[in-house]
Amino acid sequence: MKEIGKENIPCGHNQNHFEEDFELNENSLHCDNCLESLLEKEIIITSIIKYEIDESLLSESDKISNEFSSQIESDKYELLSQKLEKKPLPDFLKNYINLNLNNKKENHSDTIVVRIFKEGARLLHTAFLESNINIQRNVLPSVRGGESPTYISIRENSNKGLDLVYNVMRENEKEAYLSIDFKNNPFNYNQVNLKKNNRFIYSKKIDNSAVVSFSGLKAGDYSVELNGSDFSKLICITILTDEMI
Amino acid sequence: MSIFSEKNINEIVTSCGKGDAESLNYFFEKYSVEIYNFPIRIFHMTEDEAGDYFIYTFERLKDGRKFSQFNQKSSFKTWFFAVLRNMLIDWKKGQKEVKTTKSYKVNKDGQEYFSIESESDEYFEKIHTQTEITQDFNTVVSSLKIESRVLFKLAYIYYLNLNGEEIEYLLRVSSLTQEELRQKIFSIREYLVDRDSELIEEESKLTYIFTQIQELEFIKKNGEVKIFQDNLPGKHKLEESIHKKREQRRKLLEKRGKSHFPIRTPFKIISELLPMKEMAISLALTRIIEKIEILLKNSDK
Repeated sequence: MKEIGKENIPCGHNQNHFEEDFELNENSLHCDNCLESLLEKEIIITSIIKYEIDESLLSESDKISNEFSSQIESDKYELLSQKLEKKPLPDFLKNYINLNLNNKKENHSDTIVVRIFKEGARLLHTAFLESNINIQRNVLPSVRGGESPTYISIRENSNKGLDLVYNVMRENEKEAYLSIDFKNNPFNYNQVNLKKNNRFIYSKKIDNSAVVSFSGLKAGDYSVELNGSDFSKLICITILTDEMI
Repeated sequence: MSIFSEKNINEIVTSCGKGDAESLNYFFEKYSVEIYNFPIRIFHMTEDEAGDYFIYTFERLKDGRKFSQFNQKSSFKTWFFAVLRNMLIDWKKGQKEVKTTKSYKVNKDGQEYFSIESESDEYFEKIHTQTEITQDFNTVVSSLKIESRVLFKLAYIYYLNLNGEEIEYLLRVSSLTQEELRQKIFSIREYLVDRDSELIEEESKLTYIFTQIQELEFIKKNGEVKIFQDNLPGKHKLEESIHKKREQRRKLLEKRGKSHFPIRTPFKIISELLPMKEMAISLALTRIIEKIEILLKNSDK
């Protein structure tokens, strides 16, 4: 029978990883198999920690434990703030504050916020008032970060039959490419106008391919107007980069 | 003076509640860093996640209406952390509700997106498998008995928080009061925090060296030729390089006190809270990890 707490790994060494506090078995200093086994354990522990953190936020808890948790959290925040350096606010978030805080934007428009950076693209925020949206997301409780995707894809379905796909792709770390695919167009939108910071930039007709696209979009606030003879629709797309605007 | 006990903060929050632009500017200038660091510090989230959370919170605070709920009966600090916590819960719940569906796919160049739908879609197969593993993982972890859950959480209390049921269990078995337990958790974290920054830095170095050794071993095993970026003579450069990397790894491990795992509470401290001896804690913790490990290995097959 296998002895609890000890495991036989391919090198033949027996290890108990939790034998003593802060001490690893001496073998792990010299043996790749032992070290690999330790790394596997680390991944499992990190996965459980990640799961438990999410679970503690999502489970329903009573008011007393909520207050108690809040107290413990503020203790921890102050303790860690004293001992460890705080992470500075990234430039793309400073840009976001500058673009949004004193800007009286239309609160009624649908919104997409995307960050373009060196390694890829990331969807930061969406708000669609009347439609359902589907977003591609990773679902694995990842232990270590994987590769970032280079595009964001969002599908909008309204109960009136409108079916659109917005793709925002990273062209390079400073520019994005936007395409809108009209899968179903019950309002007969026939033209798309693009404005940046409320200044008109470009207009495109929706042709038989039912796709319009714009390239070279730099950081900023974009308004995309879909126009038809009887209806129109506005979508605000914010593109953030790591360069201060 | 703490940033949370600033002299005029109550007036500023009240003005924010009335939508005063100057006060809102001041608030975000002063407290944006705290909002951003909250999920990193308390819930050990990544900077990417913290960025998403920041925007979620900013969107709900920027018009000032939320500030009008601050009634000044509690301190600004208490109100601020309660708001941040509730926002984090709402944001997490929202994330969980987002459906993952097959929507649309584009190629890397972003040009030929008409033809993409005829391509095989490995991404979604991968996602499906990942979802299954995640569900299995959740089933096993959530089936742990309360004693095991509390033990695991105490071992990694630097990262984890206890829920209501776990607090009650711990108060019962330790005979501590709630305030004593709070102090105890604070003191454990205070003890562990010094290890945090050095551990992160050294773990990155160690992982890098470990990967390099693996690569060199692979080249050696397959009889491939490694071209070194120097002009130095030497017949056995590959072996020398592996030896050098091993030495680097050994020194690094020794320097950090031979600890490679996420920051863990010493068993002696846990045994002061639970009715278990140190060795029993060690074995029980190993059992929990093994149970999850077997499950994940079975999922891989």
